[in-house]
Amino acid sequence: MPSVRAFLMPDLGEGLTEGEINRWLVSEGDVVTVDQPIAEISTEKAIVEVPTPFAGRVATLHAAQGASIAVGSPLISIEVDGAPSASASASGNLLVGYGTSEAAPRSRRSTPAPSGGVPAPVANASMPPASPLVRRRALELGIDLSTVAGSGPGGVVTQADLERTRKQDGTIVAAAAPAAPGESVRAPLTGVDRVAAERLARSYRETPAATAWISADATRLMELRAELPAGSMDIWVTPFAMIVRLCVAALRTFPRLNAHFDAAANEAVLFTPIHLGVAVQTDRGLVVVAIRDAQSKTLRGIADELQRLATAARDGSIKAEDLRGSTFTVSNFGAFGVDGGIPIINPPEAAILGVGRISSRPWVVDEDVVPRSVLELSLVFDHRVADGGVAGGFIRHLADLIEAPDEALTGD
Amino acid sequence: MEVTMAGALNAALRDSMREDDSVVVYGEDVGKLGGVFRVSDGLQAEMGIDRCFDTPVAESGIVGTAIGMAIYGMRPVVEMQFDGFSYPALDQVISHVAKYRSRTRGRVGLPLVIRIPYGGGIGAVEHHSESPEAYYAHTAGLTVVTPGTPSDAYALLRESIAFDDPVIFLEPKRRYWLKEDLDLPVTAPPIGRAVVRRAGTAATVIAYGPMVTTALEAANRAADESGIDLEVVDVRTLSPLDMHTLVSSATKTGRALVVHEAARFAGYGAEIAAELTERAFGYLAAPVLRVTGWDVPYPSAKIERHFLPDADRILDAVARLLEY
Amino acid sequence: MGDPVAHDIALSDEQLRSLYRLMALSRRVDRQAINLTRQGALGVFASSQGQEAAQVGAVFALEADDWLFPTYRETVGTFARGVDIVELLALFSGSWHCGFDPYQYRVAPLTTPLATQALHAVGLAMAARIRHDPIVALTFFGDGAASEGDAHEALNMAGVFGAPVVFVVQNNGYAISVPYRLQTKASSIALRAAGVGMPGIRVDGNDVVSVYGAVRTALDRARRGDGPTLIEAVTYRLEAHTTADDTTRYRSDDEATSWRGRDPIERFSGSLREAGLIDDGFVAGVDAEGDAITARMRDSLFDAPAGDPREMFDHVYATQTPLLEAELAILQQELTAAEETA
Repeated sequence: MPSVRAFLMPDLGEGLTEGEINRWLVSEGDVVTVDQPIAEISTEKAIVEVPTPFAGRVATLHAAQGASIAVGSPLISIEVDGAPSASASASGNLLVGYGTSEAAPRSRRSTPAPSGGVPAPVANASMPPASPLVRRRALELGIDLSTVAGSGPGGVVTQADLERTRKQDGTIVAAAAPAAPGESVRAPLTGVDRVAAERLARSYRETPAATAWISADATRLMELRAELPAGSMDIWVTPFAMIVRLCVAALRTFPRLNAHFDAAANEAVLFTPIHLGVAVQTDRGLVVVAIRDAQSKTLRGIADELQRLATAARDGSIKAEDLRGSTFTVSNFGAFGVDGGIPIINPPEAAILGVGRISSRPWVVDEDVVPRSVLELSLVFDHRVADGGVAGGFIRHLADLIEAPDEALTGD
Repeated sequence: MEVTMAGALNAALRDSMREDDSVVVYGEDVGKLGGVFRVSDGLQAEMGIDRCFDTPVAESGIVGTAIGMAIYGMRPVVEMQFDGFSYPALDQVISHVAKYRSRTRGRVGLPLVIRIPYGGGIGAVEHHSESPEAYYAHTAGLTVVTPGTPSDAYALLRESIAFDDPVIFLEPKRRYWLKEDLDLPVTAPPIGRAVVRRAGTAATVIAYGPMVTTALEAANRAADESGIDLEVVDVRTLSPLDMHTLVSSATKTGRALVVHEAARFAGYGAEIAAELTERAFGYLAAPVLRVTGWDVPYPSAKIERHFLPDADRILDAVARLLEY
Repeated sequence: MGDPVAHDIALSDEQLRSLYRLMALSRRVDRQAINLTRQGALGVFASSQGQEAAQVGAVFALEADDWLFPTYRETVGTFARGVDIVELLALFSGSWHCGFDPYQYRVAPLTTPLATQALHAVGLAMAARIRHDPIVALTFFGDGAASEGDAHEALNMAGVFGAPVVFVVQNNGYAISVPYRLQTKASSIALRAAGVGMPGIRVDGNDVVSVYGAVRTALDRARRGDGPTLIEAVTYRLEAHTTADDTTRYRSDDEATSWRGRDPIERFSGSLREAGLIDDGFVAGVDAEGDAITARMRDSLFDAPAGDPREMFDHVYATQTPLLEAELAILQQELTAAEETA
């Protein structure tokens, strides 16, 4: 009983991908014998007569004269006598004649790592097996590696193993607290507070921070504020907003503090735009809102944006992107009525500015002691990114701007 | 009795030829002259010209005919007079010696040995101080053996001659005159096994061929001068490589370096460094270092000592290992 | 140069008919192999059409225990020597680099790096001489290969050691596209023999009886311990270098046509018919044999399966190494994973 076999275009020249049908030597319907030439194919190398591997009647010529045909695609189909062979048109000429055409798409073959090749844990090793990265982390976390079960290849301690140990250790410590039932109330950290707590703890732990502080005479600043034209918008132009605006100006002079530190890469990342973070106290905890592109904003722009963000933060409508991406943060201690403080850097930023309350204090002006509106500024900075010269320079400059703000705020 | 490495090799050839008459030794000047380093001294006189003979200057021919002899069932032990003159035979080695068993589906193995004096430090002119071991070690199908001591020279050459696969036998020529108190015949750990030459705890120094002596010298100095206790491992067979011994040592000490005369870039040391890093990753306190010659063509005699790794260069690397 | 009279060594009628049969079958096999290449069953094939007399005439002179060291051009010669054609074509079909057992046939694998196997032949012959075995090694190489350093080293060493080896250089006029006149300035390759201290003979490579005679003489010489001989058989490669080559780029059709007019098989069958040694019946019998062989080639080689990839690890060394065991394990997992995602 006849069946149709397809003869697939072979690779005629050691890795060619296609050929052109120069001339068919048979027509559909012709009877052909084994090895009878059925087409002239021209490749980049030569013109070759291709013989049929099957005898029978030509059923289909799969391309027109002059057409190009890819290696592996059907060239001619022949009606042959006898049952179809199992391979039919599925395998075709799959040896070297396959050419360089793409294989049929298949799902990615993923091969699990073979066992063997990695030695069993060594009994007398001088230290438990762990990568340099894990050992450093264990040191930071204060974990004794020899107490950690390793789940990596060959019993190696992995980062996941460390994290698991850390969490367990935490629970154990808490259970040993010396309080009888009823004598203490647990206040778990949740939500914003928990996230903030982790960030602050990490920042405190990992950042080599130093502080520079200065007192500045804000009398002129307060005068300028009083001189602002009356209008409902201007009530947002608080002294703090003005200091934020001056801080932006100071950062343009000391751009090294407008940066993050990338501990993994051991690099400071200096930013061009100044996305100023401002710490805002809300019912649900402390958040840092980001005034984006503060360098392009006027005083009013900054004041408006700060008001908008603070309000949104407090009523819970603030969007996630407004809570991210700050390059430098300012923390307003004055809002609590205190002289100043040493804030914790908002990681991974390189610095944070603490601003104390403005209060009337004795100040020396032209050798007289007079009452002036004075505030404390404290700059906490990552000593990997900046040194005392930069930090001191910045805070000195900011103090100067605060004491003589007219020029900086002109046109705002 | 004190035996030099050259003497040990000579004895190995003689003893193998006496025990098995299919062993023939040939090459340039190995017959009448007994070899330019006298390694085949006296063999022609004792065994006859059919067993030990001289050839025309034809390195490719020497290896090619060895292939034919091995096909016929003989065990040819041929010599490339110097490392730098083994190159004309590389085609026969890579295209045929390495491939014959695989090509014939295991029916035709070639039990031949190609002896090559290699390495520098003998004040020689150009082309006589090469370290070509990486080319051979990288070629699948070859077994590459290199003794560092006279006893190993004897035992490993005997075993290489009796081996059923082709062996590239690299002889550290600057150590030909190294002496050891030996009562031949001796046996040693087999082809494919590395050996700890000096047990230690501070760091592992991995060496082969001419650098085994240098590594031991460095270890002695480290102990005397700084109280640093180094472990020295002699690789002995470059392919197949005994990673088990190397990994055991590196995991024990946590610090390792490889030393070879050959240039650093893409050198044999890189293979050991990569394998150790993969297998002993969790146990390493420091990266695996390589102490090598420079990546320049081997220099002239008067400045070669600045090319070759010496005990000082090894100890500098040890100090770096200990910084971690 | 050699003495032309000595080439006429008497051949029996039976031997003459055998020579015809072997040449005719070789031509059928060669044609079928080309067709199979054009059908993708062989990756590439080096035809010996036109060189049947040179190859068949030479191997016909070998004794059973003699060794043959062929190149990729000697499918005809190795087939005529008795190697199974399907096993022989494994190199070209991509199934294994050598598909036959050299010790079974005393034929070395078809060698590709030019002239390198000539040294193997010399070495084997040297070993046979050391062992006092009266066997001879015969190796073929071409006019192109004769330029390789190994060709010279093989000739020279054979001369120095008096090795019982016969070198048959088929000068078919071309090394792929480079014609003889650009390969060497010497008017004949046989002249090199003088340079290495052995006899050099130049024969008409398309006259099977002449070739047989020259090779037989040389084999006898070597067998009795008188050393090697260089024989240059002048012939012509009717087809391209391989099926991937285009002859129109470097030679004229006229040249090939003129050589087809001197087809060694037609020439020989013509003289045998004239002598009444073969007739239509005999020729038909040989044709039928050819049909059977070529049908077997088609059946075995078209759509043949690829074989087990794990085998690539099996024969690298006599004893498996730890590194290869580990790598085989990885390949095994790749194969298992591929089956699962298929």
